[in-house]
Amino acid sequence: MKRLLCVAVAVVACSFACGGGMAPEKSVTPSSPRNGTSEDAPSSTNGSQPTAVPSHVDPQSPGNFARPPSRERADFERSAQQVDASIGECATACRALASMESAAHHLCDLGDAGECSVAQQRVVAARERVERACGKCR
Amino acid sequence: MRRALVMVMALALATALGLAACGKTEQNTSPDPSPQIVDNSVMAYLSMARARHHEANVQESQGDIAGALGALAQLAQAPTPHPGTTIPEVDEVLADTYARMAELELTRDGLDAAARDVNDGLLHAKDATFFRGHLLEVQGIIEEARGNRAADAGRPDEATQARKHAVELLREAIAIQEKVVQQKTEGDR
Repeated sequence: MKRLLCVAVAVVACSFACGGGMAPEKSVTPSSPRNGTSEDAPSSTNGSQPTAVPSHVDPQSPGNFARPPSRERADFERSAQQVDASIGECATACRALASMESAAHHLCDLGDAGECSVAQQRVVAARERVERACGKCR
Repeated sequence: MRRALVMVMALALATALGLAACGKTEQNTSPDPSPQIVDNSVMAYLSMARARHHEANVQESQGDIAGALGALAQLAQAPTPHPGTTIPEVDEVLADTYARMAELELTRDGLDAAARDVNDGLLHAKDATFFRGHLLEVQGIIEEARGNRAADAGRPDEATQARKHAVELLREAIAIQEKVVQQKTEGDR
């Protein structure tokens, strides 16, 4: 359920940040560190990150779009990645669980009671784990 | 399962589109040794794959198994983007498509055709992923059906052999899917 909440929050953030980031796309510095460095999102004091609009420029004037601060952008990108990953991971976890259930069912049909019991226990544990992380699978 | 499949494909496509829309091409600059190519041709392929699965859904819902298999076969035989390059999204689509074809063949007792589909699918799922686990699960079911058929035909040795193989495959499928569940839910314990 935590992930669902995270998804909801991040989707709102996504719609805001995507819309804000598209128009001034050309102005975004290409030197921003991206993947793999998101834990160390550059601060506004980083000299290699020209994040501030020069003081003589009105960021709201025509042709001078306000650029989201790089830290916020990094936060957004991290959130968006987490949303994508979280949704995809729960979908895959649910499919893996369904496959486990099917395999265990057929294993039980094949007759070894001990093996069947072990397989069913593993399915129950997996289902609990998935429900804890993702809620019930549809 | 069909809805889940469509959802996964939709997610793959939506993710790809989302990355493009937000101008996030940084994946190509990642130090990851296996380059991620999600460009227009990959997105078009994923969209086509989704359409083919929808088409198969419609055919299957009308009881037209041959029609559903035809739609999926067209997908399986369609040219893939960036030939010679491994693109995980494309391999996943193909592994999943072959698994579905095998399941459909099973519904009409096409055991040999189903086994061929699984083998084709396994070529696209070499790592211990959901897709490999699912293919092994289907292969186990095929062997179980083969064992039942042999038993009904009075061939007990063949039946025993097939069922033993089925147990091994189903065990392996459970082990893989268990790991997938653990990996995908890490951080929530």
